[in-house]
Amino acid sequence: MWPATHTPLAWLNLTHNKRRLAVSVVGVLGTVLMMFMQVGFRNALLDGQVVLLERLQTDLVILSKQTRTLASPIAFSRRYLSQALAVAGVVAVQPLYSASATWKKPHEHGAHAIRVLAVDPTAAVLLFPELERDREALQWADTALFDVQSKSYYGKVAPGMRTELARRTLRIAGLFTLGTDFVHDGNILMSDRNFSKFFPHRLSTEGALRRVDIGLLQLAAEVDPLRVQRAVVQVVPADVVVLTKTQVRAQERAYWQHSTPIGFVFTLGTAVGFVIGVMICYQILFTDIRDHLPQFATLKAIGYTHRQLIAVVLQEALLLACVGFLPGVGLTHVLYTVLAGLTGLPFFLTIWRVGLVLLLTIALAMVAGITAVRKVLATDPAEVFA
Amino acid sequence: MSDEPVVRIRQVQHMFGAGEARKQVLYDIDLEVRPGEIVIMTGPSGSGKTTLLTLIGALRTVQAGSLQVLGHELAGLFHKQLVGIRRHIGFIFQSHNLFDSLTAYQNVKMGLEVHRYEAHEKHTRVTAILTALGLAHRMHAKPQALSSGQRQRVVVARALVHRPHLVLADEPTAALDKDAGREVVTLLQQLAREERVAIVLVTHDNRILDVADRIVNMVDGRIISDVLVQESGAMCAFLAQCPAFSRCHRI
Repeated sequence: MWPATHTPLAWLNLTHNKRRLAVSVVGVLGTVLMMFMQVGFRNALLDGQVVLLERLQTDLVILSKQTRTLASPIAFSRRYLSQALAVAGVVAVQPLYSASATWKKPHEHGAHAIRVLAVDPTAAVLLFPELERDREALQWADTALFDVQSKSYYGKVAPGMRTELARRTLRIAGLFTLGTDFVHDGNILMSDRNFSKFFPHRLSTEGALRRVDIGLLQLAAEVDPLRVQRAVVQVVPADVVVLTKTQVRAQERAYWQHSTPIGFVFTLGTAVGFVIGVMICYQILFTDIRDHLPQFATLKAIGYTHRQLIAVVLQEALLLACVGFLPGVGLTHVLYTVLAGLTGLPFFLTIWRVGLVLLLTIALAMVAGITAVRKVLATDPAEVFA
Repeated sequence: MSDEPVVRIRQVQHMFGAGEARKQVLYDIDLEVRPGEIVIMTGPSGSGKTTLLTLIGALRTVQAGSLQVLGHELAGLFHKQLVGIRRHIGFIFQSHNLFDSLTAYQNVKMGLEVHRYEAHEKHTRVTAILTALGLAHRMHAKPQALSSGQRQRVVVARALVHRPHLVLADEPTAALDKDAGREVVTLLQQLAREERVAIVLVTHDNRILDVADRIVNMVDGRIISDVLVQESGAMCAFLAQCPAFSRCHRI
């Protein structure tokens, strides 16, 4: 059945009327863009939540059982990390502190919440790669690194600049790159010692940071992480979980996808885009078929089978999908770059996402084609003589 | 080639509608068409001639009676088998129904795509038929660039390109001026004589009645006369010599 004819009837019909072709391409292009935007935002959301995790050089992660997302971790006792360090195969542990504070825009009025991440800058492992360069500066009092991907409303921030964080003066020692997510619009990174100064309520009565938000474990190169994970679970209390990076990633994506309406909204948005696409494609194909009904009836009269006629219409639907999709991918690439710049979210045009939208586009064109072809099958060839 | 009838119709009845609205449009049709014969069907509109033409063309299901086309009984055939029969018939329609997006060459080739020919065979046939119809220089023009006469010749080419033994034509000259119309019927006549193709033609155009071997007149769903033109011509010539009719002839 494929191809139905050697004369490329589907292609010639589609491209014959240039003005109609332009309208059709724009119609399908719009649908493709709409689906790419939904898929893009959905993945930007999910990818955005795991950006922090991807930047951490860690093998196992300890989280409180109550922690549902890394965006707002629940603290647990620092003692658990020392217990984990005693397990064979664990070569280093590192606490990660995370808190929200008020950031005052430099030289301006107005304040915004910003996420503050803190680690031990002297630790040899488990740090952000950028820390190597500014390791020295971070150890000074009241200094921090500013995330260049933070939203623009935090102001133009340059190293050496002074500003106010949680009503204390802070000096920007340098810049690093992390990116925003749907919860946090900006990040700063500081040493654990400075963290205890900016967040005195986190200190215990003895004046130490007793509770950590995320525990990072680095393992020896030769050990099996799953075996060490089981061993760590044995020694730490039951109010924390020990997860591999892959497990945290999966849990994080699942949380945003299922436990919040955000994942659902974008899936629904993609579905709406699909349905609108079916309607647009149907309208284009139907108009073309309606204008050629006598011709299709004539083909029936000269011996074309239903199967051959269906093939012509479905070919046309497929070509329609392709002529709309190709410029759609190009434009999406541009839009993703612009959106990533505007929002600080990671918009990746991966081969899988291109494939997903291509499949959706072909599927919607086929649904439209199958719906529209009924009109061809219903024509009575005897009416051509009337 | 055998002289077996290409079309043999016995006691065909046909109804439209169902229930109360059921209306018989064809009554007791008997008709035979032999190879090389040109049969013109005339009659007022609504007389059932187009319905009969579509029945012969396997475009409708035979309801009652027997209808044999090219040696196949059409009564009782399934849709798929009817489609198979259609491929061996040449259809010429009143409205040209050519694809605007296809050139004359491609439109004619559409008539061959349902047949299993080699690519070069298709090319040879399409080129040959268009050349024979005087369209060699317009082969790659699209319908909108052609005159109505040229378009009708493309339709004729599409109907003949697979060399059918039976051609069914519905008002083939209606959209044409005198010369173009004459050109088309001369072509059909030539085809009937040289290739022994049977041609059934529905027309109101009196200018082309002279090409008919037989004229079948239909009124209200019945064939009321089936005249062999040659015989009646001879008879007229004979009668004209009789003193009693000689004056009539002058009138």
